[in-house]
Amino acid sequence: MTPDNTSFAYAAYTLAAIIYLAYALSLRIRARRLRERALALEASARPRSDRAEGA
Amino acid sequence: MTDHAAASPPGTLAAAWLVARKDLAIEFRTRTAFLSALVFALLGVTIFYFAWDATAVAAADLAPGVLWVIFTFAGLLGLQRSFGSELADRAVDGLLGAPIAREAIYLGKALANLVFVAGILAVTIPAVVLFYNLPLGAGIGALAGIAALAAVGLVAVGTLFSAMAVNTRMAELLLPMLSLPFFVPVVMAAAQSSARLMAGRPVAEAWPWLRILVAFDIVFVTACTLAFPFTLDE
Amino acid sequence: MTSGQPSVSPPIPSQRDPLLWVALLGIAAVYVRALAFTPIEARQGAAQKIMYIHATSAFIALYVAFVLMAIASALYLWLKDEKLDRVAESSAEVGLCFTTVVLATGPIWGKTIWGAWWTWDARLTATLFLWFIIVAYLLLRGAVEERGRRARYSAVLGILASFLVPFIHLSVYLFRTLHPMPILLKPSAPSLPNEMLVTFLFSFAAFTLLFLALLRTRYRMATLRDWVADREQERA
Repeated sequence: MTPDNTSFAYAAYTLAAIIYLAYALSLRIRARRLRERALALEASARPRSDRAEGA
Repeated sequence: MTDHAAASPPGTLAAAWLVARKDLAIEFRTRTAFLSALVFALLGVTIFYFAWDATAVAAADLAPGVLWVIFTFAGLLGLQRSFGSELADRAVDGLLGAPIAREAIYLGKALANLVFVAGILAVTIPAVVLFYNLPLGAGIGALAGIAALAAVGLVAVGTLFSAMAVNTRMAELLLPMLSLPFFVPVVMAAAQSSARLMAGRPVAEAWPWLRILVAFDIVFVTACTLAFPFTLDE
Repeated sequence: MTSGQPSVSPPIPSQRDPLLWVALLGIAAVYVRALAFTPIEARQGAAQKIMYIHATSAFIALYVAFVLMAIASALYLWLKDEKLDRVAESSAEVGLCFTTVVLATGPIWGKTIWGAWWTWDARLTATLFLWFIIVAYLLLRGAVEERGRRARYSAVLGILASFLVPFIHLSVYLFRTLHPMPILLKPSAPSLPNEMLVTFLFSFAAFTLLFLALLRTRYRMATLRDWVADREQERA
């Protein structure tokens, strides 16, 4: 007698998808914020690029 | 502290002993940390008694669980202060400047912590026997042995993490968070073996758990001693 | 200076990430195949299909992510190369995501198959503590500001953690065998018919790809983060 637990299967699959997608999204957002900071730094560096900058 | 003009610096074990003596001397000058941890342990033992329905569960059955939970948290209190004293005025630099192996610093600190924890247990175990009406007998000797093994495991891991946590922003939270997962095998083995021995079961039943405890001690004392130098900023 | 070349141009990864998209498409394909094109197991019902996600994620979390983190940690302490530290941290974080999926989907399966949301058996307990340890690892990293110290501390924790997990597994296994537990209805693993085996293999490939894609993304993010931190510190 096969139990009818399809809803459990769908619940688990949905939950897993949410967790993975949320993580991928968080990576995207964090990367974007870092990119903005990096570009800002690069832009402010340009006027001073003729000055020797320490390593 | 005697100051011989030694021709050669102390070997690792001798140096560890010196470090331990220093820490214990500092600790027993004020005794605040020790007494606080002791009071905490005794209060905890009594509070746990009231947390259960004494008619449903026999006090003697509760006792092992209570003992090892209290052991864990009182141990953590002791470990918190382990490296705290080195932070003030960068006292740790004095230790690092001394011509002793880095491992000796770790072993010395761990030894001091072990004495601290042993002191707590020396009072807490009799308290548990008293409040929970445990039958006194040959089991007490075995219990002391298990407590010693468990204390070694707790202190080995806790001393290392204390060295790391003290350098962070959230030391008091970080130390338990890092240490508690590592205490799980220790507490489990100690509780299971002591429960059997206190119930008068033959030693053979407790033996698998004691083996885990001994294995844990060997693996983690070694690993933490080797890892300790990596926690130093040099 | 630990970071190497004082490059003026930041190591910004491109917006497009074909690997991640392919991986996500692969996962979607696994979903469709598992839910619609794989037969339902007679004794357990449709809930058995949860295993295509749960078991695969568990394998990758424990044997790929965690092992990689431990090895990268050990290599870092030996070679002191920052890149290894970034690999360790990335593997830990992505591994945490996978472990979370394992702990979220497992109880759903357990509730319907075993009748219990949770049981303290060796494998579940070890997985739960793996989760705690990785959280502790990431919080430790967050609490240490200086990069070299942060790398060393987390490497030590990573290596010790790899010793701990077997101990927990062993302790709980012993606990279980010596403690008569209520017999939960645990279906025995039947020999898998071909379609199910194919779905498992397909799932394994897709989730491995997902792990690698997420790992690479996370690694690049760490590299950029360190570059930014270096530049901002120079300005300060």
